[in-house]
Amino acid sequence: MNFWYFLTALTLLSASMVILSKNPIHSVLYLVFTFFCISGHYVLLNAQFLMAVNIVVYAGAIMVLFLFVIMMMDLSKNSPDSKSTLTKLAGAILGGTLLVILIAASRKVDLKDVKPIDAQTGMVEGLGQILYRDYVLPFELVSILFFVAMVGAVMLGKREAGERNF
Amino acid sequence: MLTLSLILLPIIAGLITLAIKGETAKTVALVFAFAELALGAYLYKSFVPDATSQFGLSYDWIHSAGIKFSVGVDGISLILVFLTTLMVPFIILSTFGNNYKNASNLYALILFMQAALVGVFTAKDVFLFYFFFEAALIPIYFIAAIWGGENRIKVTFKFFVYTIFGSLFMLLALVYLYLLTPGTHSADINAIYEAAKALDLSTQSYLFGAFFIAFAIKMPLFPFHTWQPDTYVEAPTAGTMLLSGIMLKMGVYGLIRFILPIVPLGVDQWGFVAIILSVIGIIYGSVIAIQQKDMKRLIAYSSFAHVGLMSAGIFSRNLEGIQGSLIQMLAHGINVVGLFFIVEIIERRAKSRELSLLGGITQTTPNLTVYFIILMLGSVALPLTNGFVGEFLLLKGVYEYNAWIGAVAGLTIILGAVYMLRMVQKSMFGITSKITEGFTDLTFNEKAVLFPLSFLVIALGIAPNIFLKLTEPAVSQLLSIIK
Amino acid sequence: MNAIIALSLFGISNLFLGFLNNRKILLPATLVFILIALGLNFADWNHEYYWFNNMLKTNNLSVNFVTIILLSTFLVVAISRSFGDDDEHSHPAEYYAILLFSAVGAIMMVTFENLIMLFVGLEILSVSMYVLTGSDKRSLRSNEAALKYFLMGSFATGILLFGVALVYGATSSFDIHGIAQGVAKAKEQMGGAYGPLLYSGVILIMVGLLFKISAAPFHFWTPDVYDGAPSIFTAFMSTVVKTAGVAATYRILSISFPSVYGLWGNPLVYIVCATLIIGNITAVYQQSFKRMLAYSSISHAGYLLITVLAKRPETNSSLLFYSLAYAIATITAFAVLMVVSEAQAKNGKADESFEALNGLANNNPLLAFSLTISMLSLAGIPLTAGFFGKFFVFSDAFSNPSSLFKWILVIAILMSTVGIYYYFKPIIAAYMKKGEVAKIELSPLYKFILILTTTLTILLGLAPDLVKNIF
Repeated sequence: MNFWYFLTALTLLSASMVILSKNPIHSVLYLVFTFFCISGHYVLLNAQFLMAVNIVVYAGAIMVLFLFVIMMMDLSKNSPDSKSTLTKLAGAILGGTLLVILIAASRKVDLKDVKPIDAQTGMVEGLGQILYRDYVLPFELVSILFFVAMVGAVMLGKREAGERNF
Repeated sequence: MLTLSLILLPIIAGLITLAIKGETAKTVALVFAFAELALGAYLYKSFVPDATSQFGLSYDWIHSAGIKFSVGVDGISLILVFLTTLMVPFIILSTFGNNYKNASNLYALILFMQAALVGVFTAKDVFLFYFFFEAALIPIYFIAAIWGGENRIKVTFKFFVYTIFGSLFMLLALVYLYLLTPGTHSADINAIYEAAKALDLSTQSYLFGAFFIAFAIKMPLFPFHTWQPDTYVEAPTAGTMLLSGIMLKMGVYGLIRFILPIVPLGVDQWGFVAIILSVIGIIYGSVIAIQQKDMKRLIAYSSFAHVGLMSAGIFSRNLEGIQGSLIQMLAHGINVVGLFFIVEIIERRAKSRELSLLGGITQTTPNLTVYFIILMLGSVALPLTNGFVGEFLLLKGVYEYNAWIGAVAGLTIILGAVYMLRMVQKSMFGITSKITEGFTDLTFNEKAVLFPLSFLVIALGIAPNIFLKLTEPAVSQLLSIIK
Repeated sequence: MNAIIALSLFGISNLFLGFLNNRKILLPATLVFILIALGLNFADWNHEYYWFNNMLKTNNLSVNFVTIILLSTFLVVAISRSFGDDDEHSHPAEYYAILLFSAVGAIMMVTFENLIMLFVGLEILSVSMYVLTGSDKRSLRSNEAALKYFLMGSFATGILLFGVALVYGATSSFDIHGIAQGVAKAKEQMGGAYGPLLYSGVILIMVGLLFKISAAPFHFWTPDVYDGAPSIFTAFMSTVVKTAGVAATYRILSISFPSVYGLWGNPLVYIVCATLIIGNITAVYQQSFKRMLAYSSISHAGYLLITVLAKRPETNSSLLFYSLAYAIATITAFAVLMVVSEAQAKNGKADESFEALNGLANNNPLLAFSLTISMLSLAGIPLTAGFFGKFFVFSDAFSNPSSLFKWILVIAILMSTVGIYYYFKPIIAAYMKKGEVAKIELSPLYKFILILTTTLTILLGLAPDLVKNIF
């Protein structure tokens, strides 16, 4: 239980560092770290497979890609802050209110009938059962989602002749 | 079947007119309008003078909601259907001297408008009534906004939004009443009467407000009249005739058909206010009419004053008041169409409606003066003209309701005479002005409108009973529902 | 269900057709694909059936919604004119394929039985829209719109997903009927109260969905995105996405959470009123026809939500009728807007202001007439389908015994009047303002679609029973 608290605190801390740090490269690194922490939570929930996938896909593949993109962009000059103080204040108040509400709600949650963890739940076999038996339809249809994203990315990313016309 | 053909014939005629381009369109429209008049005359002739609704017809319209396409004619409807079928041919004929762009569209819209008006006056299902009530607005909006005067866009738009705004409240009231009907709900007018009986005073007051706003804007009553003079002036004369001759009767008809029987307690409570507003309208309209320089605007205000008296008569809720308003609707329709046409004739020749610029027309075009005076006398309610019967009954009704109000409303006759005589005197008599010198005599088409209308002014004045006896049973029955 | 499978395959076939380097074949092929899907959809008529472990459910209601979605897609595709003939800058095969895929997402959103399906469907639809919004790569406004939509949309999806997770925590089910049972059980255990998890979950799910149908106060993206996206995709967004979003909202609220009406009903009252007021009032001030249509779509979300809020047995059929009337009229309006704005283009940029329509009726009577009918329908004037749409919605609201609805209706009535004001601007421009629009040549298909939608609008305005009996 104590380890859980430690891990949660670490997750929150690194997640807030993602948005607080000025340097985008630091942000990405913090994000990678956040993913590691979340993988740690998966381990605590006895979901080793998910932990591995999370690290491989998110921390490994996607974030490294991110790093490449950021490094290729020219980020030497800092763009000036476009938001006014009032907007920032309003945003902070609204976001803070939502946070308070969510915290207040979760504080009251009564967890007396939480199911005990089945040791097999997080294993590949259990996951496969759920994914390919119970949830086979959404699993298949997600392919369309990826397909759309792929087609869209190719279409939007393709280089075109001619000038921009604003 | 007769009622249905009365509604369908103008629609078909309108579609045919649309398809025909060019000059023949107006002739076709006119022929169909006379065919419709023949149907109207047949309806009048075969109507049995009792309180029942005749020539009824009912189809399922929205089956799941119990809403029917049901139409029928009783004494009250008859007079207005007859007025509609009678006036439209003359309105179409009155446009023959003008050259309109895309004329076939104009005639088609007039005919569509006629169909909607007949629909309003014959509908026995409240939602069908509402449907036609709104549908009538679309053709007249386009007539006024496309073929109207300089400020037409702004003015007609105000008129459109104003009237739609009012009728949306009526829609709310109708939906409310409809949901009160037992079982799977029915929108039949009698079922609505039945359902409304159980309502308490406060609910009735709300409903009264909702209905009153809709009809008061349509007629219009003081202080909802601000759209009216401008719209009448800006619309082409055919549109003005439709508006004042027939369309404002939709509001009056609504008072009789909806407000009186549905919310009797509400009328007990608020009827006095309505009468006061009507009487203010009479005096206000007359006083402003006296000061007008523009003939069209003058007649617009006179129409506003007349409709105030009709509404006062209806809210006095006695036989004389309602009978008077019915016969006055017919008379006012005839007179006002005739008067607007005379203004149009003058405008065609003089290119102006300013009283100060006119004068001496009687020397160049004596025929016009004769017709003008006959129609004017009808409008100021001289005995033996059609206006007299209506105004007399109306004033008697209001007097019975409250002697003081009756006395004030009676001023309408004096004031009416003042502004009408002033208009005739300034335009017809005196010295010929520069623009009235070259007046040509009336054309055949112009005479073909003015003669029948003038004839009707006198005929109805001599024998009003041919209509009064038709409406009396229906009105008596209505009064028995209220009591 | 069959339509989902068919459309997925057709989308892929469409991409392959793109290799043929023959643009002309794509449009008819896509239309045929949609018609086949429409036919397959009717195979589910009168069969109530659960698919794949209660992931989807098809019944007559879902068939009707799918029909409206496919019909709208059909009309949008039919007025797309193969996206011009600029081989370098437009990619019709991809566009059509993505449109078909997004129809799959929309269908999932109206047939889902499991929140996972809702999420996947919503994502398919949203991702397609992000891409299509930005498809005009040379226009800065389109780029901006796509980015804005993408950022805000991903947040909304995240919020929805968080809500789903919280509801799962409260009821331990993703199944919408299972959730209803879970809610009932939890209520029983807690003596009528409901847990904080459920509360937050329901609200967050609502926020996520209301964002997609652009109800106030989650509407801020709408004007910019609708304005920036190419008109044809705006037409798609404001019809298909809206129909699917409202259907999904209604489905989840009415099936999963009817027993906790107070929980979502009370906030929804304010949302409905705000949507009506903001949508209509802001629309009045627009100078651009396209932007006005964007605000009009916000206000129509408000009317649709009234009947969701009223929660009557008739709500199903009212929603269907309103969506159908709204979709047909909106697509007609966009069809006219597209050709006119292109014909009036200045410096190669389409002119989407009201002034572009000035004098339209002189040389283009069909366009002007279709525009008029569609505007009258959107304004809810009798003789058009829109009137009965509003009529049914108002009746539903009135038949709810709560007196609160009378006040909502008063607001709705006032706002309808405001609506007339701005819907008449294009009509006035087309018929009464002075101006010149050269005769616009329309393809036979385009003409056919305009005549079809106009006729349908009038027909449904005269005889709503034609479809009301089916719904």
